[in-house]
Amino acid sequence: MRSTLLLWLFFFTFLLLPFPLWGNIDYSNLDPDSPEVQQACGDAIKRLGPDRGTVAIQKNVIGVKKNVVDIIGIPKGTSGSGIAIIGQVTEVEMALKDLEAKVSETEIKIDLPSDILFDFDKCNIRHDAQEALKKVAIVIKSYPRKTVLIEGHTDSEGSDEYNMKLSFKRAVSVKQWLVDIEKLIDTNFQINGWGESKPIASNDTARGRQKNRRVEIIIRK
Amino acid sequence: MEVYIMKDALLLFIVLPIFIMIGSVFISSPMISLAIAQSDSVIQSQETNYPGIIAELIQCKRKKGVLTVKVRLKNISVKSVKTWWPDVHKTSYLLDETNQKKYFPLKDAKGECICNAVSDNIKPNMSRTSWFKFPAPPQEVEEISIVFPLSAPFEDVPIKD
Repeated sequence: MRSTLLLWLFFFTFLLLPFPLWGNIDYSNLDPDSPEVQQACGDAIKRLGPDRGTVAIQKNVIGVKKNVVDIIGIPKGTSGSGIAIIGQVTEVEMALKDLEAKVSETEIKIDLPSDILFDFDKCNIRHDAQEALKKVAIVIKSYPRKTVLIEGHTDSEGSDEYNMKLSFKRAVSVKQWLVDIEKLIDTNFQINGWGESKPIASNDTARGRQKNRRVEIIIRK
Repeated sequence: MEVYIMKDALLLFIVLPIFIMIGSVFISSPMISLAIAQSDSVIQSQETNYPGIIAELIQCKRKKGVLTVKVRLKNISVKSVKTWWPDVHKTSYLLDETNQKKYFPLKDAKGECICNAVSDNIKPNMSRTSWFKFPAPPQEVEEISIVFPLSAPFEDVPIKD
């Protein structure tokens, strides 16, 4: 009798009660056409409602290049706007210089030290970093609709996995700042976190580690 | 009598759950899906940010309002490469340029991405196929762009119905 009771108690405790907790499906094991996946998809679609979770794509009309196009064909004597454009071009050049950007025929590469952008072990943008990021935004805006790659890197302190996640989160923070504050288009960005896998200096010295802690911004022309 | 009940309790509440847990680990471990390049035809290939790894789009199929996308990461180098899909539900999406819309991967009731993109160590000449489920664009949309964090976007991909 007691054994039967224990048996029921066992089933109730270990099989029935935790069932909702074990409800997470491990999709890594499943075929995409399996009934479980199809069921999950059907439910997900219902939850999304009529707009199906879509986000509208905004077109970027801000930027020096757009303004330059607007200016072409303006008759002589209306040079006021032209002066404004020259001013913006100079602003881009200044920003590139201040950021020590590497400009080639195919891309512009900007290295931002993580120590300026973030506090130790954090991924929130520091207030002091906004000046540099504003300059980055000026450069990006001069290449509207181009792909911008943002890549986070760390030094070798800490585990590989932790560094990979930290570097990715930091890259996302930079992108989010540019999208939220500078109203750049989300879809133009590609984000990567490389952790400690791509050092540019030795991790044996403090100076080297500082160099390795960075966020790279690459604008593909 | 009490000794037997104690033994039963020990068996049921300690030993058996341990066996179940150990068994479930084996059952839920990722299937060995590494294999020498499968026969699926490649729709598009792109370089990835991992040296030696290329991404091959092998399926973009619309069925019952859901779009299934399969991507094969293939190691063409001579070294093993550890790949990692960062936050796929935020960084992967479809671009429907006809309607100017962006679609993100479907998530289940627990908020998990309905996909099997997992970190993996891909050995030379081996590959790892991942699949993703997205809300399907409307029927009139015949081509889309697919953006993944690991590679350049797959552009103008025809949707198979």
